[in-house]
Amino acid sequence: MVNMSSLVAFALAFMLLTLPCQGQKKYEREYRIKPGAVPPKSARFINDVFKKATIHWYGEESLTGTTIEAKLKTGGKRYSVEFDSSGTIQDVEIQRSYSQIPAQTRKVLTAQLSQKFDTFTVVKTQLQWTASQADLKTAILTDNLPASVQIRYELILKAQKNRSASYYEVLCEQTGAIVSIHQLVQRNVNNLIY
Amino acid sequence: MDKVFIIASVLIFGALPAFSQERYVAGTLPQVNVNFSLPKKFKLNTKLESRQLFAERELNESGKNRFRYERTDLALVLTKKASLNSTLGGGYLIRLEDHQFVHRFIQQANLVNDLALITVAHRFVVDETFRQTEPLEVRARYRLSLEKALNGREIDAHEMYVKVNNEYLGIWSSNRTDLEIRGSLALGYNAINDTKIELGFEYRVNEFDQPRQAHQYWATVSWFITI
Repeated sequence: MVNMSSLVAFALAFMLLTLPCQGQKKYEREYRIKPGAVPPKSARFINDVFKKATIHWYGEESLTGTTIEAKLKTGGKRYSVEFDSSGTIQDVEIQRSYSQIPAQTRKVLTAQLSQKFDTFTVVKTQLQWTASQADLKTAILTDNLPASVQIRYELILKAQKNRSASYYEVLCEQTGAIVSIHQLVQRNVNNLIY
Repeated sequence: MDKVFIIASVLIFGALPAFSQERYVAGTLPQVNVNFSLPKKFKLNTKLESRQLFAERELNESGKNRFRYERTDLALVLTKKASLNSTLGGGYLIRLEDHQFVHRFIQQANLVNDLALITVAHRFVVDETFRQTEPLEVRARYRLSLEKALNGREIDAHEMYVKVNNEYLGIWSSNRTDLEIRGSLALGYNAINDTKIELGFEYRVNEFDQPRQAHQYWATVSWFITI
């Protein structure tokens, strides 16, 4: 037979002893923003370009600063438009399938990724445009891309390296040359497993 | 949000008289989950859970509103990542109930998918329970969980989220076959360092092999700590 008070004491000791072992984590936060709280400059751009779409606004805080993001779907395309905290546009991202990337770009990119990873699969592809506000507006509203628009691709990979699998964010040039690779930290889902 | 929980409490506990002819128990279900990260992608989950009853009614008896401590479980489950989104695991649970120990062996598989706005998790479990005076009981369980941040798309530190579970349990032993269905709704808070606290309500119904089903109403408190 087990004494109840010793069980409670065990449980409390278990909880308290484990707490000091926790470490510190980098501060990063993403949150929803009401349309009225968005910088007027960015709200104006989105309302001018995407007249009938439902816009979801998000803020992202990190050690490097705060950015504002508008997410929307229109004409069968998913857009993500990023602004800095003053409302100045940073880039426009459009979701694509990997097969929509030009074959030559894919060939160059695949060759590089095959060297960096043992295996990989592309789980998300985004076309990224960077330019002035006026040129980005033209690029979105017409099919004619102004020459000043920088085209890049952002991919999310599920990849294996040294027998360890992880998600990676890869940014590459239009030519397929890799600009950057970042390993993504998977979030803790213990409360969904046990 | 406090108002939601007060209203939900009133609805759940206030609904008990409506089941005046049914068998039921109502109480609290607190649990502490401590997860240890081990080498080679292994994790050890230790879970301490107990049940305290505040109201109960047996068949052909009138309902009783009184406090009764029912049982305490201590479970140890070792899991290993099978892929980026899935884990396989096995463990052991010891339960203290009516001054007797109950032993259970657990085998489980999980699949967790982060979608754009919600996280969907599937848990498949088979367990075998050994009691001193009863035959071996085998259960096959499936649980679907949905989790959504209350602010934005991701559950960041210091943010709240909502979690919904629906679980089905097939129960077999040499003298009975039964089904149990569980549904729960919890409001969670993601503190820093992967510590989460969830408050919620859970409803369970079982004994489908009997003329009248048994209902359970639980106020749940879960604390998840990762080391």
